[in-house]
Amino acid sequence: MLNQMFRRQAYYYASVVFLVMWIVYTVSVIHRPYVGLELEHVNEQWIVSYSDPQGEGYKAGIRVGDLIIKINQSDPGRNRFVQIWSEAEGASTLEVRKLDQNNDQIINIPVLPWQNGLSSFPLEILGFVFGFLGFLTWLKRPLLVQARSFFWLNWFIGLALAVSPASSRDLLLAKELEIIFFSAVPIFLINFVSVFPTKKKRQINEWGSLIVTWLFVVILTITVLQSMGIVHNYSLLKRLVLSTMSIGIFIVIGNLSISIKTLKDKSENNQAVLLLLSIILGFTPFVLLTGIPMIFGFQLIVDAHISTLFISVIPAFWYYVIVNKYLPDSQRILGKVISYFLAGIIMSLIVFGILFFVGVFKNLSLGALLAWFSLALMVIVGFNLLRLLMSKLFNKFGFLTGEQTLSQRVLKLNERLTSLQEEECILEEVVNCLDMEGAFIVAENANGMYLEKAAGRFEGNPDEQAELETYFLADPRDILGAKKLPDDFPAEFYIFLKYNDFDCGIFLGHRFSRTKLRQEDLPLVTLISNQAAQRYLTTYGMKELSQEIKEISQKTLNYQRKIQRMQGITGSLFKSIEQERKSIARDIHDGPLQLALDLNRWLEEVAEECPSTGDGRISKAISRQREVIRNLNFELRSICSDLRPPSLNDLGLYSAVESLCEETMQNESIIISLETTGFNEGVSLKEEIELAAYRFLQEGISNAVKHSSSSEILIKIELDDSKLELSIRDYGKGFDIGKIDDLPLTNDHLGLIGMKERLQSIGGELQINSAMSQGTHLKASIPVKGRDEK
Amino acid sequence: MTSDNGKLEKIKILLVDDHTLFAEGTTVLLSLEPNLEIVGIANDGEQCLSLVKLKKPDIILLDISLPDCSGINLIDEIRLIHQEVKIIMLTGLNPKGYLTKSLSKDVHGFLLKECNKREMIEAIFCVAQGQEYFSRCLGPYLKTAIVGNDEDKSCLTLQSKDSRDRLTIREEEIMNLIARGLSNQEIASTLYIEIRTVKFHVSNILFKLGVKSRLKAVSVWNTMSKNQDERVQRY
Repeated sequence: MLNQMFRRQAYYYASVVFLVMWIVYTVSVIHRPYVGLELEHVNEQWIVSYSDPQGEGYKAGIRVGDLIIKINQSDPGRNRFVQIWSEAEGASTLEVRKLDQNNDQIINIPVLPWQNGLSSFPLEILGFVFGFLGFLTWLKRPLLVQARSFFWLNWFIGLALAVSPASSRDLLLAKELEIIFFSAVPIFLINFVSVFPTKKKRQINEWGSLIVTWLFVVILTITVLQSMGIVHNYSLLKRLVLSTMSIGIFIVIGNLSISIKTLKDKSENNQAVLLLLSIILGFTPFVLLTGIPMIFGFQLIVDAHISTLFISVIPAFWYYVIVNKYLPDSQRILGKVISYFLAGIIMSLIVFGILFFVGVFKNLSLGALLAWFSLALMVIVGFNLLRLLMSKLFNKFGFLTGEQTLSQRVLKLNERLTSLQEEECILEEVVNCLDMEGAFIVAENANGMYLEKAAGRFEGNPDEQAELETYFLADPRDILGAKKLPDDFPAEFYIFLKYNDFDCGIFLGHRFSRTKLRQEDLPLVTLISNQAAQRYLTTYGMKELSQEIKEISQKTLNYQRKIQRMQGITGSLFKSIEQERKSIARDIHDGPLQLALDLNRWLEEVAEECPSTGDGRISKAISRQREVIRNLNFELRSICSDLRPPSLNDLGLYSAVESLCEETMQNESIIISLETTGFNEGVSLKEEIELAAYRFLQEGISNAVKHSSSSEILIKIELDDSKLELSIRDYGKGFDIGKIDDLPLTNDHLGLIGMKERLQSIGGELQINSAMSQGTHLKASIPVKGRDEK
Repeated sequence: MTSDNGKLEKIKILLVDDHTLFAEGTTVLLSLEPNLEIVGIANDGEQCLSLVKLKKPDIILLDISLPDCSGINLIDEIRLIHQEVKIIMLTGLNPKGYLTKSLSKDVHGFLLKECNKREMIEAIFCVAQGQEYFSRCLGPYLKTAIVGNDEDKSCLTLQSKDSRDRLTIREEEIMNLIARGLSNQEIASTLYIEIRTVKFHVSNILFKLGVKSRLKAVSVWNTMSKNQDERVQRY
């Protein structure tokens, strides 16, 4: 953490150092004239070995071979700068003896701050740009290793450039620093390309790095020695620095080439190409304006210092590439650059040729051609920049936006389509966005669905709609896509498409329309029409569907209500049936049965009082009557029991069930086993529960006896705090339960269904398990909240 | 003995039945007996309890189905008021389940309403003398009750004690039909008798064979006939 903080701070310190040095040297350069004379000490005399045409010495008429007698009124050998660097910088007066003259001449070197500043400024600015962009890169992506490496690279390059104007003047340590910075640049250059575009170890980088580092150390040592005056070999130093730089540049170019070659189809390739492109672009002006003229010896087209300004394109590009994740396609830019170049060459050739033949130029000169070429390039670049700027401005201020291209309009429509929810608006949107004046859509499917919708001019024009519809219906529908319609047709274009099971026809444009579609616009229009139609049909389908869902859910709700009502009715129906049975049983018991019993008693009395009087007929009649009355009693009792087992009321469910089982076993060839858990004689439940349970068992036993052919029934009754569970199992024929719900509600099948209904009406449920020849298992569960204490 | 005691003191009877016809008929029939006195007729449980308190009857003839409660449930409450009262249950319904329950309450007698005057009077005197009386027709039900209950019923007056393992000719006839798998209805129509009679016989047969279900009866019967056949062959 601390380490990281320190490292972060290092970047800020370095930037401050950069800024201070840059300001100091930039300002101090202004008041120091550039003499531009190199001296050589021959035979105790100082001879000018090189006179820079830019320098003040040259301007004052000093040429190579002139003797410098005195600098600032003293021997040149005593001048510090001359001692160390063999250059006559820092001189304000020079005593010169020219080659062709014998008298000495005293020359004052003028201090011209403006001219000084002007000539040194481009380099200073370039240096600043490098340093500033490096700082910016690091600031934006501080964690990116490429950005950090780029920072240091730019720091050195920037300072080297900033110091270079000062180095050619008598400023403290300027020369030494320039040499050191320049010789350090290759180290950082190699460091940078070894992490860019991707971090990758390469032999060439390792070796290169080692070599340049050693060279840097050597240069540093020599510089120090030279500065102290121990060693006098400035030319060697210069050569060393130059070769170090060369090695660095070669390695960089090699690296980038390898990257471009090996990283094909990757984003890194794009980055590498962009970097290379930036180098080409950055150096082109310099090469054209300064390099070539210098080599071939014509007059410089532009001051060398100014042409170097273009080099700032390089750090700008690199900054862009490092900071931005998404980069423009380098191939496209390369293509553009090449096309501009070619256009420039051709244009300059043509113009130059014309001017030559017209006679403006008297002779063919490469220099003039080069100048024209540069001019042409500048015009092209400038024109394009201006155009770009204008269109940006127009866009920003909404000027002339109505003149959108068709593709723009299609894009806009596409965007709108995705956000539209109402199918009503889709066609309107097509008309509005495409500026069509009219659109009409017809769709039909095999299920007889038929839709049509008109917008724009077709809306409210039934005649035209009918005409278009007729066309759609008559269309053989074998060719998908767009078709231009005859001129006398209401619409301009007809597009046929299929979507899902829909056949769909779209008519676009209007006969009287102001804007006409061109033939080449058709593919795009077809595409977007397809989209619109699909969107239209989809939203339409969705709407239909949601409508249907709504209806179905409403119906379901209604059914649910009906079912609830039915359940209520069923419940009360069972209740009233039971009530009715009870009252009938009561009526029989209290009426006919009592009468019959009384009758029986009196008849017995009669039989007793008149024992066989001899009249066989009477006693026979009496005995017959007694028999009939017994039968009558029996019948009446049976009816009462069947209607409502009296024991259920008087003795409770347990006894009633026991009796039921015993009676069944007595009268039917079946054995019933009864198992109970938590249920015994003492238990008494609510009347309706006992009744339902009794009826369930009665029905189940009766079914088993009648239909199952089983000789055994197992009944289980379980009671706990919350529910009464009853189960009847037989081992007979069984039946297919899948059919139970489909069974018609006839008497034969009413049993099970009735059982279910009855149980449901008191909140219970019935489970039926059965399969052919697997027996039947009926399970009833009845909730028993709050037992009824009788 | 009864008549001597009767002259001194009539047996006080409380009749509990909501059926006016039956109650009145009974009153008429019993009032002919000099030793009996109907001290009251109660139409429901409530009246019964107040009359018991008021009249202190010796014997209560108690109908099981009363409008406000079940006669059986009334027994305990009656005893709370009048400890020594003797109770004879009366029912016009199928006595099956009631008999067991009544026995568990220690009633002194059980009569079917279709009994004649003589049986009723016999029952009253029998009970008055401290014995127990159960209607003749209760035979089969009573045995079921005994089979079902392990209580000591030694003093019961059972009329068919000796005929326990011997079926009558009619019963044998029916048993053979049962063994052939005929239902009650089929047996009735085969023998030209009432289904009531068939059921009555079936109850008796099951009791005599000591089983509770028809199927068991068949298997017992089959074994018995086999043994008999072997016996016949041996001779």
